[in-house]
Amino acid sequence: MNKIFITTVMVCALLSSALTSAQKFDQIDEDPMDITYLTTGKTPKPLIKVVYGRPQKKQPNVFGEQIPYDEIWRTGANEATEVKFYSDILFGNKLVKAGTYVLHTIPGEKEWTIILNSNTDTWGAFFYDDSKDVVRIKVPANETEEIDVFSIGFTNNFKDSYMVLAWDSTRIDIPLASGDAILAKI
Amino acid sequence: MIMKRTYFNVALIFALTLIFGVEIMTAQDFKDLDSSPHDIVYFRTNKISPPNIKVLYGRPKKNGREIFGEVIPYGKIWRVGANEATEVVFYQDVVFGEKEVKAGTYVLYAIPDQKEWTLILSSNTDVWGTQEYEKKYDVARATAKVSKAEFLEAFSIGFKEKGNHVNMVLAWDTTRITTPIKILL
Repeated sequence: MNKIFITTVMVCALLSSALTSAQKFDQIDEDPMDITYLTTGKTPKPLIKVVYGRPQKKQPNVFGEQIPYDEIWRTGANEATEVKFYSDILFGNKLVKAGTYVLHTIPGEKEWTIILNSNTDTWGAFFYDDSKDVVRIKVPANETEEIDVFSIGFTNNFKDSYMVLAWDSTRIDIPLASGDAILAKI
Repeated sequence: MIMKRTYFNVALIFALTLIFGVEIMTAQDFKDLDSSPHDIVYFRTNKISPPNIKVLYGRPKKNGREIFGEVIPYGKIWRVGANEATEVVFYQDVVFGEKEVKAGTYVLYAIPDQKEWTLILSSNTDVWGTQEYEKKYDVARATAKVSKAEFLEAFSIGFKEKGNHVNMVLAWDTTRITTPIKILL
């Protein structure tokens, strides 16, 4: 009896050591990361880069159900959404220095709060610390044609640029202007 | 006075943008999900400490193909993933290959081969694939060992601490490519 027990323990120990010595790799995420850029035709390098997770719609209404109103949201999935500005930029009505920030939002029925925070490389919005806020602006919520997967993009027409967040039938247009564009307008 | 005026103008432009800008917007096409999605992997010394290394890379799948030597030919530069070139962030200075590399953001390329790979860090970031690779932007090159392990359908990058350094492991199919990185704290 004892012998069997000891043998079992030894086999288990051997097996578990063999298992732990093999390197573990992450599976592909259900809500994969994606990258979106704002570029101009003039410069080879981007003006803005966004790295974000893309969750799918799972409930009849995303906002107010799947993503609650009036609570901070990671604005994506998994790792907090990261925004990199390659030069100083007017984000909404706030001048933001070139650099890397985390993008959080507080969705609302009529209006969203958009937050840029300097506490980068965090998971979700669990590490959100409002003392690290760089920008907090309010942007009205617009209606759009339905889109099942959370998407971030840019519109760049002849004079105005927007960073656009879109999911379900909601879209948020954040006005942007680069340093040069601000100077040109003044 | 001039400053005040500038602020006023900025505020005015912003207000005008809010009033007129949103109306003139047309419907937007967003990108579909990539079939080789991106992923992020971090190396941290423990779960709650700030990261030491971050890798942002595309994860293609094997889909029954012969990968190394066929889909990804030997002796030719590879983007080490899919879509946008793979990006590595070092939060501290490191030793990569024989060379000291400053904290910062780099693109990782590789030249696969049967017995030994060459890994390249390039300072020309935010590029697509390997089309824009230029040798003049090379920051460091390292050789990496090839070994065999269990089958993986999706291309994967991981880290493993080993003594005073960390091994960065590229893994796909039954192939593993291991290169040591020393973090200079």
